[in-house]
Amino acid sequence: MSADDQELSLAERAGDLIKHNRLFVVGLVIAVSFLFVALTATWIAPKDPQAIDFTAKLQAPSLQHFFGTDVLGRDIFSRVLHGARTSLLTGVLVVSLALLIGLPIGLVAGYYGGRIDMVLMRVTDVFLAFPPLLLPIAITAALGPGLYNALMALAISWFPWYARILRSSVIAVKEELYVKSSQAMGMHPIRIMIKHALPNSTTPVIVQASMDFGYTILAAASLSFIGMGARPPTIEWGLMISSSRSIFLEYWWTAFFPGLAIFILVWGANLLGDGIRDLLDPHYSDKK
Amino acid sequence: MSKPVLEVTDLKITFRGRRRDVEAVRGCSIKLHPGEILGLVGESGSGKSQLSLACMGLTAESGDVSGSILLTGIEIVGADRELIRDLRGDKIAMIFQNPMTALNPFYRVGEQLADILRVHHEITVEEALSKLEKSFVEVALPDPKAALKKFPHQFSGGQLQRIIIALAVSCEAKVLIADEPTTALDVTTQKQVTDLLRRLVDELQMGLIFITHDMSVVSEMADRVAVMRKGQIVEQGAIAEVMGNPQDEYTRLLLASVPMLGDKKSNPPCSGFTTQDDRIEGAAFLRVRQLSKTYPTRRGVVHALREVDFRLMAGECTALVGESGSGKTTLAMSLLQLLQPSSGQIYFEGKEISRVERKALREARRNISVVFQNPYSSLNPRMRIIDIVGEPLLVLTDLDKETIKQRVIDSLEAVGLSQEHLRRYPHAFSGGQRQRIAIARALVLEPKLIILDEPTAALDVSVQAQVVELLNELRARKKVAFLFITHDLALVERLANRVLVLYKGEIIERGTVEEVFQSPKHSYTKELLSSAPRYETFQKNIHKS
Repeated sequence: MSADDQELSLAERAGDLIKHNRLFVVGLVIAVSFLFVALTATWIAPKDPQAIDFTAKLQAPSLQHFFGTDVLGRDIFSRVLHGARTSLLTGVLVVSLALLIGLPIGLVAGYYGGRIDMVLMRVTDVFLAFPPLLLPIAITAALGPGLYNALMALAISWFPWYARILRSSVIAVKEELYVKSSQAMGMHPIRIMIKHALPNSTTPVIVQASMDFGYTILAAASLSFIGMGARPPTIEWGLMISSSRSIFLEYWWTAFFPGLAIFILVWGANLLGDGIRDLLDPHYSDKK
Repeated sequence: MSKPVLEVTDLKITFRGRRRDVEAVRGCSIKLHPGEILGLVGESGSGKSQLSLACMGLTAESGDVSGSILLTGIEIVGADRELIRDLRGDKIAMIFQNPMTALNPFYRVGEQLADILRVHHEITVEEALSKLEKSFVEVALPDPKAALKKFPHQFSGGQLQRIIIALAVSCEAKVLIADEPTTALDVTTQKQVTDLLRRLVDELQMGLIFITHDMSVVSEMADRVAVMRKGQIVEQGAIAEVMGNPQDEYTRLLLASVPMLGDKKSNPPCSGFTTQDDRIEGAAFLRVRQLSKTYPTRRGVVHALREVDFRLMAGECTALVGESGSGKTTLAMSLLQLLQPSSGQIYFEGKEISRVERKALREARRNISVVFQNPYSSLNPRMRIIDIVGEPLLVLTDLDKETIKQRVIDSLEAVGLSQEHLRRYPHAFSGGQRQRIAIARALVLEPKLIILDEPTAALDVSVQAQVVELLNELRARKKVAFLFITHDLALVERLANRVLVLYKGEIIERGTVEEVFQSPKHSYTKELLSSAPRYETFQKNIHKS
C-alpha cells in the first residue's frame, strides 16, 4: 500500500502497467494486430479468400500459399485474415448484447432488493440452469442456424453472469453514504441508480466482460464447428476447422492455422482482460 | 531499572513505490520496560502503526527495514522468518482496533484460541482450555467456562476485546501492542478495557505499547508517552514531562485539540441563542410524536425506537447521545424519510411528513439535510466537487446552471474551501476537507435543520477541533439548527444547547446541556458522564509527578 498510487490517473497507471506487466503488452499487441488485420483484410490479403481453384487444392504451405490451400483450393492465409473480422465482431457483439440485457437487470435487482430482486434473479437463474453451450445450441436450433442467430443465442446465455455480478456490487455500493445522502435529498431512484450506483459498481463487470471476450469467440467458433453458427460462404475459423474435419489428419494445415488463430486471439484477449483488471483495481496491482 | 523488554534503535522503514519511495518511519528509538505502558500518540499516517508492525516482524514485503529492534534481547530486524514466527504469540502479542473482526466467526472461541496456544506450547487441548479459562477469569469475562464454548458473534465488542487480551495473557507475552484497542467500543466499555490493561501490566509485568490518537486516554493510563509525526518521534518522556510541559509545537496542538468535559478555554459560549424552555411551542419547527420503530425477527420483535417524543427549536443545536444500538441512527433515518416508522408522527412546520407521498416531501427535504460520519464514503468518488455539492440544488430546485454554480461557490467558501476546488474529485482531498465538502453540500439548500451523524468520529483529533469550530460558526451565521448525533460528551458540551440521551430506543433524559451535565438523573447518563474524559482530571494527571 503506497500512498502515491491513489493519485495516479488512469492514463498514468496504464503507462505503469505497460512498463511492468509484459503479458499485458503481449495481449495488447495481439489485440491491436488482430484489429488491424480485421479492418484491412480486404487489402492485405494476398488472394481472394473466396476464389476457388481446383487445380491448386490441398496444397501444403509454400511461398505461394503461406498457410496452404483447402479442399476447394482457396488460400487459407487469406481466409484466416478475413476470419479475424467475423471473430472480433462476434466477441464485441455478444459481450455488448449480453451487457445490454444483463446490466439493467442486475442494477434494478441489486438496488431495490426484496421481491423485485427475487423475481429478476430467479428468471436469470433459469438461464444459468443449462450446461454451457447447450442453451445456445437449443436457441440456435430454434431460430435456425446462422452467424447472427448464434450471436443472439450466445448473448442470451451469457447475460445472467453480468446481471449477477453487477447485482452483487450494487448491493455493496447501495450502502455507501453517498447513495444514502442522495436518497435523503429525495432524488429519483432511476437517477440514483444511473449517477451513483452504476458508475461505482461496474469495475468487476468490465473485468469479467474483457475476459469473456475471448470465451465468446471460442464459443462462437464451437457453434460454427458443429454447424449451428456461421454458414458458408461466411468466413469463420470454427467453420474452417469444421469443414476440414475429415481430412485434417492428412492435410494438417487445413485445421492447424485457423485453430492457431483462435488460440492466439483468445489467449491475447485473456491477457488483456487480466491487464484491465489490474488497471481498474489499483489495490490489486499494488500487491504485485 | 530492569532490562527493557523491547528496545528499538534508529528504526527506518521505507516503502519502495513505483514513482517515489515513501518513508513511513524515519529514525525512531523507543525503550519499553516490563510493567510499563508507553502511549504512542499520532494522527493517521504518522507511522505509529508501521512502527508497531515492525516490532511484530509484520512489515509488508515492499518495505525496507533498517536499524535495530531488540525483543527481550533478540534482534528482529533481518531475522529469520521462522524465528520471528516463534516469537510472535510467545514473547509479543498484538491487540487490534476492531475486536469484531479479530476472531474467525466460524470457530468456537475456545477451540480457536487453544489452537494458537498450542502452536507455542507443548500442551494438550485440555491444558490449553484450562489455561484460557484462567485467563478469562483474569480479564473478568463473565462465566468463563461457558465462554469457551461460544462463537465470537455471541459476545459484545467489549467482551471480545477482553477475550483477545486474555489470549495475550495466556501466551505469557512479554510485550503487548494494542493498536487503538478502544476506538471501536462504546465509551462506557472503553474505560473498563483500559483499566483492565493497566491492571494486567502491573500484575504480570508486561510491557505495553498503547497506540492511540487520544491524549486523554494516554494521560490516564500510560507511564510514558511518545508523540509521532511524519515518521518521527517529536517528543518522548514521562507523562507529566511531555504533557505538562510540551516542548514541541505539534504536541501542544494535539493537547489543545482533545475534547474534554469542562474545558472552558476552548469552549466559547454559543452566541446568539439562549436556551429556552422545552415547553414553548412557538419556536419548535420540528416535532416528533410517539415515534416507534420495530423490526420483526425470528426471536420476536426488536424495538429500535420506543415512543420517542421531542421538539427541535429553530437555530438550536440539540445533541442526541447514546451508544451503538441505542437507536440513534434509526431516529436519524426516520427524520430523513429513509425509514418508515412503525407508529408515531413527524411534523415539520406543522405539517406531517411521515407517511406521505414522495413528491409532497420536497419542501421538507429542502429544509432537512444531513452530514454523515464517514467522509470517505459519503462523496461519490466518480463525481467532481461542483456536481457533488450542486446535486441537491439540481434535484430539489429549478435553478439554472449559473445560479447553481454560484450557490456552490458560496457554500464552499462558507466552509473554507475555494473556487479552485470545484473541478477536483474527492480523492484529492484529506478526511477533514472531505467532511467540509459534505457540510457544504448540506448547506447549499440553506436548510433549517442539518442532521450531523457523528460528523467528527472518523477524523483526526486536530481536524476534529477545526470541524467543530466550523460548525459552531456556521450555526451562528446561518441560523441553522443542528441535530448532533454523537457518543462524545465533550463534543456535546462544545456544540450543543440541549441534549437528549437515548438508551435502548427510549429517551431517558433530556434538558439543556448544563442541566443534564450538572445533575444527571438517570443512572446511565451518570455512567456516561463518569467515563468521559474530564479536563480537571486530565490536568491533574499530567501535572502529577
